[in-house]
Amino acid sequence: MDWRGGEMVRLDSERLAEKPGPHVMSYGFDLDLLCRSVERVGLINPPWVARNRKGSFEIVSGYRRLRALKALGKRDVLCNDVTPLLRSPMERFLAGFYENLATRKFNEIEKAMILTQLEGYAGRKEILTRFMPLVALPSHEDTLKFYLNLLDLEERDRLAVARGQISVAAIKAVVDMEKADRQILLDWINDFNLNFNQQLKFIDCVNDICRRDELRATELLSDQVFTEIAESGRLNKPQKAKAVLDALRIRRSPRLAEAQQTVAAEVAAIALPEEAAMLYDPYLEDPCYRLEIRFRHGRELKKTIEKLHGLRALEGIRELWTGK
Amino acid sequence: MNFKIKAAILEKGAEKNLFAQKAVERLEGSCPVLVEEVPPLRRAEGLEPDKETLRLLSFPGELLKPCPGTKEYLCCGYRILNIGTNCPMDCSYCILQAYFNQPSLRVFVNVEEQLEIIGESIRNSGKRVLRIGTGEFTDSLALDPVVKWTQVLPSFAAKHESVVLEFKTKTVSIEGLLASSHRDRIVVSWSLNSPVIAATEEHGAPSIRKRLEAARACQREGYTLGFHFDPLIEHRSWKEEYARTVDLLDHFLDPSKVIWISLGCLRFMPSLKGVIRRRFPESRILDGEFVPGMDGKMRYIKPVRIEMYRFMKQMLAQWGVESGVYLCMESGDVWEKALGWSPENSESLCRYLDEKARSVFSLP
Repeated sequence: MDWRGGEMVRLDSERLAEKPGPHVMSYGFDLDLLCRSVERVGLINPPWVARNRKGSFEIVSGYRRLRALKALGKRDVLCNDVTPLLRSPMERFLAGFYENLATRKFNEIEKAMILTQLEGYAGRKEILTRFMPLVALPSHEDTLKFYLNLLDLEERDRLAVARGQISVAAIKAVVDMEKADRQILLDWINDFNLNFNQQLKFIDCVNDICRRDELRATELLSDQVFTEIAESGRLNKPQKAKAVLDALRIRRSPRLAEAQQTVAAEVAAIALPEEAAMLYDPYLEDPCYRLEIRFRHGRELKKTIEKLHGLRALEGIRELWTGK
Repeated sequence: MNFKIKAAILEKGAEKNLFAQKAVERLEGSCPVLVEEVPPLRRAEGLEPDKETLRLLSFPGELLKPCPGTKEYLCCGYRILNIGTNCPMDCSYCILQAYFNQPSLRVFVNVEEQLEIIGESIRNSGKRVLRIGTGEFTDSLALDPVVKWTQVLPSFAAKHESVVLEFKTKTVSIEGLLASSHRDRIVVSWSLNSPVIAATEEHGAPSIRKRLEAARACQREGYTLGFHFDPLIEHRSWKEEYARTVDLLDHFLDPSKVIWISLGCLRFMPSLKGVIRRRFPESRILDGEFVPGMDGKMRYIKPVRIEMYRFMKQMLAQWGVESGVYLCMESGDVWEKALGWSPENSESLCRYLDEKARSVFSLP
């Protein structure tokens, strides 16, 4: 394809950015860098446009550039009209797709946009075998189904996924839930900026409790324990995240939580020399404690051992599980 | 109970195998038989099991392997004779759901040739007792009506004096066993659970009553029996429910002819949780309090395990079985608290069960 065959046309960036047409595959991007570049050196590559059946222009490639120009108040833009070169919508989509593919990585929402558009142009098998590897996705039917549903998320959640604030794994974990339950989980994840690890723990724990206690997520998270944390004025977001996860953990495994608390309190009550630390399996599965001693030389080690020897509280250490 | 086979596939290389040909004959045109290339391995995630396609193939590796126990827990030193993988039943807790990378029921048709090689190594090993079982990666009897393992494996045991061969099943497919003339050093064992768990979580498996009726038929025919309460699952009224199963044992069977009963609480690789949630959304088996064990598998917190084992031990003792009750993959402290004694290490546990086999079968 010889792109010089296009005709250069002057178009209004604002109108194009507002009505870009069906081939856009950019979402949740940061305009700042592009704006600064355009401001400094101008537009190096003109966007590609093509006329649709109604005769108005649609963007083939260059949506982000047009958004940047619009943001900078530069309305009059020189574009490459590739209408005679790219006749069909599929050709136009693919031209934009490969142009993007060569220059950047797609975020997860953009992948969903691409796969959704491809549904109109290509068969299922071709999408799976040819296009999914191109957007760094495994050629699995389940993965395709998941991505095709990803655009149903609320705008706030789509943005969080696109920006890497909510993990794909977290979305996968909530995707089959009732809408209200899914939404409350995503809202809490967004509100408290849970990291990826916390997101999965949070969803897993809520899910486990809800199934066991036959509750909806909306009911569980309306419990006073959780609303108090959410509304607390004393705690910042990371503290709230930790407090919510702790409260869920206790609710999920009350016997374990109680035993862990007991052991922690008993160990903390022993006035160990500061060079020594008593360690144990946090899940209390390994029956043994471990004693760790820091020392620089043998005399120091001996001194610590002597201190330990004289410590009567050591005799009171009980087995990790007291049977409660 | 015969499970429905909708298609049989002979993998390239297995077409001329006699064991495979006989299996195909037994299907008697009840389903199409195809010859196919060896399929590529696939990842387990998202792979739905196909429990109606029987795939007959030659297994290229060793068929006899030690049980993949871990050093953190006491292992009984069992050996697994890998005669096939996957199972026509669909238990929600089945570990194979997270393992398998081929969806169909796979039967290894080169078992007879491999048994010759295994026999040679057994003769050379000098071991006095080898407890071997076929029910780890498949059910020992579920496919027996088609593949007739019971025509091959008992004669292998008969030839090797040190071999104690265990058929481990949830089925009532005992016709092959009853037709077999060899009884010595054969243990027929049933995997048991509470009736409610059997009904709600062991999909496609016969009821506990039916299993025990089959066990009674085997016992009457002179077979030595074993039982495996594994996985024990904490569920509503679990004590009453497991007691019901022990009552049924008492109703149907003579405890003096039972060689061993293993107990093992539910444990699973963390990756299995998602599979269970996806495939069995109604399952309640994940309701308990689980912690990562020292082997990385999720297990109930210790007091729960101890309480369940202790209860089962009491129930089984009341029925009349005290010796031969053992824990599968548990730590010494749990043994001690639950059963009142501990074999201390895996070697001792292995010796304990070997001794049990020796006394039951009057081995040298």
